[in-house]
Amino acid sequence: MYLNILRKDLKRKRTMNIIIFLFAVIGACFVGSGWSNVVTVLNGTGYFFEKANIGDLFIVDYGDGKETLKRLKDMEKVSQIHEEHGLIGIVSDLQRVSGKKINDNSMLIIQPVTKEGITYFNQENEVIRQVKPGEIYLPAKLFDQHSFSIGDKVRLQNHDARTKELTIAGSVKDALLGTTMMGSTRVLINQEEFQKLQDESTEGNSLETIFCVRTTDPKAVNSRIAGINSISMNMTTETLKLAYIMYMILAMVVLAISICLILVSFVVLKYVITFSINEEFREIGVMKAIGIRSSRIRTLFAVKYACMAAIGSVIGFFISIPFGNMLIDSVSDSMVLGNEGGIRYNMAGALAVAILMTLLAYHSTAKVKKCSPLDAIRSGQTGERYGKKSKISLAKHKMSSPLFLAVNDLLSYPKRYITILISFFLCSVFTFGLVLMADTMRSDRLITSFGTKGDVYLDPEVISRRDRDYIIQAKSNSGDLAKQENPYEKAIREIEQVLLKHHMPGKVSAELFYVYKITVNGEERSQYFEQNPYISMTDYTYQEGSAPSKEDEIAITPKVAKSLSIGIGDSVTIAFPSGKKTCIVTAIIHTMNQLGDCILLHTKAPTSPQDVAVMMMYQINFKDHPTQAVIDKRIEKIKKIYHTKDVMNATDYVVDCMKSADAMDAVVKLLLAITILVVLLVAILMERSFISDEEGSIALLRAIGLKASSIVKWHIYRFTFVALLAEILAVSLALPITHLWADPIWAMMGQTKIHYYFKPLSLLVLYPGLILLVTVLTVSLTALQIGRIQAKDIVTIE
Amino acid sequence: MADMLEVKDLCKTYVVDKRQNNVLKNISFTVEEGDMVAIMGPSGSGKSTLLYCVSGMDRPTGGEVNFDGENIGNYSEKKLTEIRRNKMGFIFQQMYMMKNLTIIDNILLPAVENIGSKKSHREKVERAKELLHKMGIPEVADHDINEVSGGQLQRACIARSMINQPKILFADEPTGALNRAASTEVMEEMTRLNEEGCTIMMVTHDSRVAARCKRVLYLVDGTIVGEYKDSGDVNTSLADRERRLNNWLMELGW
Repeated sequence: MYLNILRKDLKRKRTMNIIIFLFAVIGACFVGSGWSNVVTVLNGTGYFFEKANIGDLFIVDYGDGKETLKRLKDMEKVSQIHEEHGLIGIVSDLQRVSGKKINDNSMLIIQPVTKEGITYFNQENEVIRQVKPGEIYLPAKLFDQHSFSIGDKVRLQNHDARTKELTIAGSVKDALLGTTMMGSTRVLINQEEFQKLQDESTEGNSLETIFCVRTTDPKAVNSRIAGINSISMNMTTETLKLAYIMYMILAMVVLAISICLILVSFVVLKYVITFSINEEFREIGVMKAIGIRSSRIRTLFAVKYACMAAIGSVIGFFISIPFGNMLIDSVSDSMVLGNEGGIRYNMAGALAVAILMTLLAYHSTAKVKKCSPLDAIRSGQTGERYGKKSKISLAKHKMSSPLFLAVNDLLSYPKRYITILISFFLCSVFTFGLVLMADTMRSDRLITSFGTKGDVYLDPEVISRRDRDYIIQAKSNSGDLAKQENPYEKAIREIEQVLLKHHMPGKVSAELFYVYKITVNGEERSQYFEQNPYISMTDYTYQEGSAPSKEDEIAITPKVAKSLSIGIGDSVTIAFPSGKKTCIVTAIIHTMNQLGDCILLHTKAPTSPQDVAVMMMYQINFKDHPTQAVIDKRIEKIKKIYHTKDVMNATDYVVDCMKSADAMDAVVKLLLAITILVVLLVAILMERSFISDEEGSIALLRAIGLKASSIVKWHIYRFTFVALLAEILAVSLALPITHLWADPIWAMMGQTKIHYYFKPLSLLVLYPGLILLVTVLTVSLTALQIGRIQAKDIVTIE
Repeated sequence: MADMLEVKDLCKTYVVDKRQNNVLKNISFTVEEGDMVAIMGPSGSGKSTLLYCVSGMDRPTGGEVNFDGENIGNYSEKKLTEIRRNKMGFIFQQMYMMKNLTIIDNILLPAVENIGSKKSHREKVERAKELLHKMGIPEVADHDINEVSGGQLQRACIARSMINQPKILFADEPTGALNRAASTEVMEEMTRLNEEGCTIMMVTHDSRVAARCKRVLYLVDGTIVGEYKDSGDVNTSLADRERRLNNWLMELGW
């Protein structure tokens, strides 16, 4: 009898069993790959950094680094120092021999591979020990951004415009500068060719030194090197990990999708098992009548689902390996990935799914206890259990029969539709959350995270090169800068004149970054500072406190507040070139610049242009307050004037700064595809089970003259209403739920208070509409099965 | 009286495991307007199959079924559904109703589906109430189906079958699931409907039920082996009619 029941179940509910099995496979695959990927990526940065041997802290020195090296060597707590020298340029120094011109003013570092340096890897994760003459290795981000291919001929020029023709030999995985979040890019060339380029350069004009330091006390190192003017950046590898945040987000999203899918699987599984048991009332009743215990009967049902879960998990495990690799493909382009556990995480994930599904299956069979021998006699219906079912009356409300049946069903058996509601809601709310993240990343909502809002941002190559030269000269103490005019003021004046000449009066400014030694509570360290000397302090958006109004007032980020243990009202001593100055914290400000590790200086703070380490693009605020359409036209005009594509509006500027909008868009598309797949499977499964459950009612309705199309409509309406409710709930709750899970991610990037932006059309119409459309189409197609139920079946259906 | 239903050489064959099973064999008969016909016969003789074939719920393998002057044998499912909704009424042995609708909503459903009807929604509701009243169960209109007795439910089923004023009422063992008292109530309602002009064709095992009919067709192995016609004498009691019918049935080996 046991086997007969199982055989009957497998045969009768083939489609439903297949879908449950698919859920087991997909669930195991997702959890396995998600878990493995999260471990890989979270540990991945540590694994990669260890393999690359970058130590605990790295320092970028615009010079020969002798002073820095001297101080580091004195320190007991420093166990290893890697020192590398490179030439500084901009990415546009690298041009194809033939083909599209590269227009990119971000910093380029040209370097050879040396024994003293860190370890670099090629695409196959093999160590690059040397670069052959005539060859060059580029990081994956350059391949992506400028569509380079291996084998392309490129021309590389040094600061003095001496060029060298090279062939791209491959992609380099650079632990320090390989991620898109790092503004600088490093390319590797042959040692002798590098030497030649360096020899041809004006002495000290474009040399930089990168130190990778292994130490037990990064704070002490920071303190030791504080005040060295030539240092433009020093960062612990712990902070560097944040530059890989997008890869972590990607992996976490995969895990979150997995969890979401598992929840959906469980909800669906519970429904199907309960449904299955309801259908077997006769067999269960007979079994009970002849004295078989409930636990024995429950085991019978649980065994079926345990087998499905076990087989599904094994298949899911095998699929999870290539699937997981595919998901982190974009990550592995830039990182050497691996984890100590290997595929054991995939295995553990798949096993967890099998166990959870089996436990849930057993738990769901509790319904068996409620079935009695009487059920077998009374065709599964015991009058005693009836409650008032009808909720609305056709006699009182004028509506079509399909609409009435659908609405009455939803009101009569709300629990029955909870499964659909939860499944659709979970998938949708998570998709909408990612849409919110992606839309925010592509909006000007984040502009205040990178400075103040401007109408246009531009980075003309001619000015960019001049600024870069100035920074290098200042940091390397070469050239007589005292006699030179402040290059930033000069550039601002030039741009303003050009704009005026072309009838676009505007105020130009720029966010400049400095590294100064600070003293807080008796401890010294070097710290990033941000200043835009050409605007008003009230132009910034502060989270708390009031805008610095004097030159000895500053605003700090929450990250700085935490790391220095200071707040509003506390003071920090800053070693400006003109002397030490104690500044009071008057406000908390959010910024994603320098990953949130930054202090905002007053516009009049006594900085020196010679101390500028990095700068953002020049920003224009038009004085005649033009409309967005006019601004867009002016952008095109400025592009022509400066022969550059690097002219953008606030939104494009944010996208450029975030460098992760594309990755997020890809994640949204992935999740949308998965949501649609889940919606499709749930819709088929539920609709099939509804048809199976309602065969008698359908036959009756046909017998009394209801059109087949009316019955199909009844099913479609019912499903559509539930899906619509799920979408309305998901849209309504998307924002608070996204705040819950996504805000910590933003906080890691330095943005602790995020105001999400969304395109109403896509979030309120397009995505929910797409999910609804898929639901309606799937249910419509599945509901066509109703056609096989004839009026005459009324006499044969139990 | 004109023929409401004309059945000519009706055949129905099922093929199971490549074996042909001829359930109905060249059956011919007519049902006149206002007639009340019972189909009797031993189990497995093809009574229900015959009822479903002539009512368009099942398709015959051969022969003709002319209903209201039209051969419905070749009609599409859509057309047959329309005929079932507008011109036919059905009563089943099990009192099938939609579980989560009230009695009145169950009755109203075919009327609401009848979009072509000239009646307003209000008129349809009035008609349903009127039918419930006629059936003697106006008080159960807003009850759920689990709140009424079997007899009340079957009378509600009759009311539902009459909602679109059908030309003919088909009933498959209408009292099969009822006790004696409920069975009598239901048959009295059906007799009254017939007296009001409704044509009725029913399948039954119960000679007491069949005795209320004007004609009885006796089916054995898919063939009509006899036809009984009631004398039509209004003075004859139901008990006498039943006795006469039983005698006739016994002659046929009942």
